Amino acid sequence: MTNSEYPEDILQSLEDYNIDINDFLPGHGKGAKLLLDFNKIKGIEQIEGVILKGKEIENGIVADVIIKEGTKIEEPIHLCFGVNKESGVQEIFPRIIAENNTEVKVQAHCSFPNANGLIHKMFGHFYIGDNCNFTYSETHYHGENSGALVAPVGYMYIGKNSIFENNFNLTKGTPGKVKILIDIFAMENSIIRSNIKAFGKCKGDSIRIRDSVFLEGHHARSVIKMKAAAKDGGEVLMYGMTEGNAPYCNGHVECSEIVLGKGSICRARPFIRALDATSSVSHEASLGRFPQKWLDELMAKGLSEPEATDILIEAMLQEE
Amino acid sequence: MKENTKYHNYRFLGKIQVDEIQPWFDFASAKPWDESETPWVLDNRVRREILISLAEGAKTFEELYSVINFSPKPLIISKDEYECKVEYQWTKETLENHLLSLEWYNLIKKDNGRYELAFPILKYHEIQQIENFTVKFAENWLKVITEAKTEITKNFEALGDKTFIYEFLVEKSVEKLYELLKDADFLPDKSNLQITWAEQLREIKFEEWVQKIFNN
Repeated sequence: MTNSEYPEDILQSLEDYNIDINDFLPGHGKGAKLLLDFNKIKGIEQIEGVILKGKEIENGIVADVIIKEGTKIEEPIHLCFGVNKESGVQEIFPRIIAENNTEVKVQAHCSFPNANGLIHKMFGHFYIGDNCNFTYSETHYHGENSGALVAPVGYMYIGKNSIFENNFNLTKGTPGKVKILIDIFAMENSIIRSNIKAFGKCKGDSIRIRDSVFLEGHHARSVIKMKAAAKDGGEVLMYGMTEGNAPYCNGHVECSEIVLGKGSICRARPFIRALDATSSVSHEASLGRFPQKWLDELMAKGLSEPEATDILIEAMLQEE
Repeated sequence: MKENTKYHNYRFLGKIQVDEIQPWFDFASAKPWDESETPWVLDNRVRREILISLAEGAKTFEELYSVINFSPKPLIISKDEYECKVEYQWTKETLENHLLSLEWYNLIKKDNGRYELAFPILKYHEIQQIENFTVKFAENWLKVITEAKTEITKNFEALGDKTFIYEFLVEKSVEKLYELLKDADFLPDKSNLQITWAEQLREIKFEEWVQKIFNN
């Protein structure tokens, strides 16, 4: 498959996130891949140890991704859910099963460059086995018209002694209306890192994300990091939830949000619960403007306040 | 825990009926500030699964322990092509913590060593029966409202869009109805009445949807 066989603006949005577009195209790169153009499967490529199967349905697709026991792959599995059209409904039902003792990275990209009345819904399930190292990174681009309604729901189960990293990035373009719900269930001795980054840039942008970790196994540990900014009338709500349900589990929720311009709203709702006498759960949140000292230091180098703020936002959203 | 429960076999609802707004209530919602309509304990899917399991009948701790586990299945890959070996089993300590939370919130109770639900479940055929009455009630309301239309329009001329007034009227009428029902002993005579119930989803419609999406 060549670049010309897939909408150029979707590929361009991948490049904006520093992702090599060739890795997404079947016939290129080493990783397994599933490529979607609206509700049509444009390409699917399996590799040894990975079963990838998709089926088109009325408004989208159903997909299975199976990583077989003991599979360790360096090249990420690429999933691209692109829509080049202005409007329509795309419904995705992915199910990822990573069997025991696997090491894999999944790179998903949801790109809707011309969205203007487009609805994208996802209902995903991830089942990660025991002793796995699994990284799921999802980048989004919803065009420049605040014209998308994006509502993914993800349920993720992480097995014993596994490490799971979830990275969600929505910092380019104008998000539109975004409502995300992620529920992660952490079993015994598992480690969860969930990093959420989002940027609402105008009045038409409303981003509401609920990222929950339920510590269900002994000694399970988690850190949720939510970073967001709202500018010129945008709205951001970060709802970070951690529940310590098992003995000796430990969780932390961290939220930083920057509010800029009149009419912008940043909200944080950390909700932590300890249901076991030996569990420990904590949170910290800071909302508002950057510390004046940081701005002063950049302004001393000749930058205006808006320029200094833009640099600090970019730095914050790029920070690991 | 059955794999097919990902679609929620039951919908949990709750309602707090407040007689009058009191100073220690949340003024945005006019309800006690520390209680949301559906208790937070239902946020966790494991606890929902416990309730779903108890909806089938009372269970001992050991019986619950034996059902709070699952092994996932792929959506479209057949069993002949692939059989999943991943399994999740909740520990007894974690299960006990979940049960204690559910008990604390009066969603379950323990009786003679068996756990059971402390709230009613509306089964599919009961929901249908209730719907018959709901239609009957609503039609009567519509009749009353239609008859009062001229008077309502005249009384609320200052309001731009008259359609809003019907929303207020319905909400206020329901509040009044609760009060009258309490006076007539149809409801418990308690302030801040809190009810929780679960509604079994309309199975047939739901099954059709699953069939259409996954099995075509």
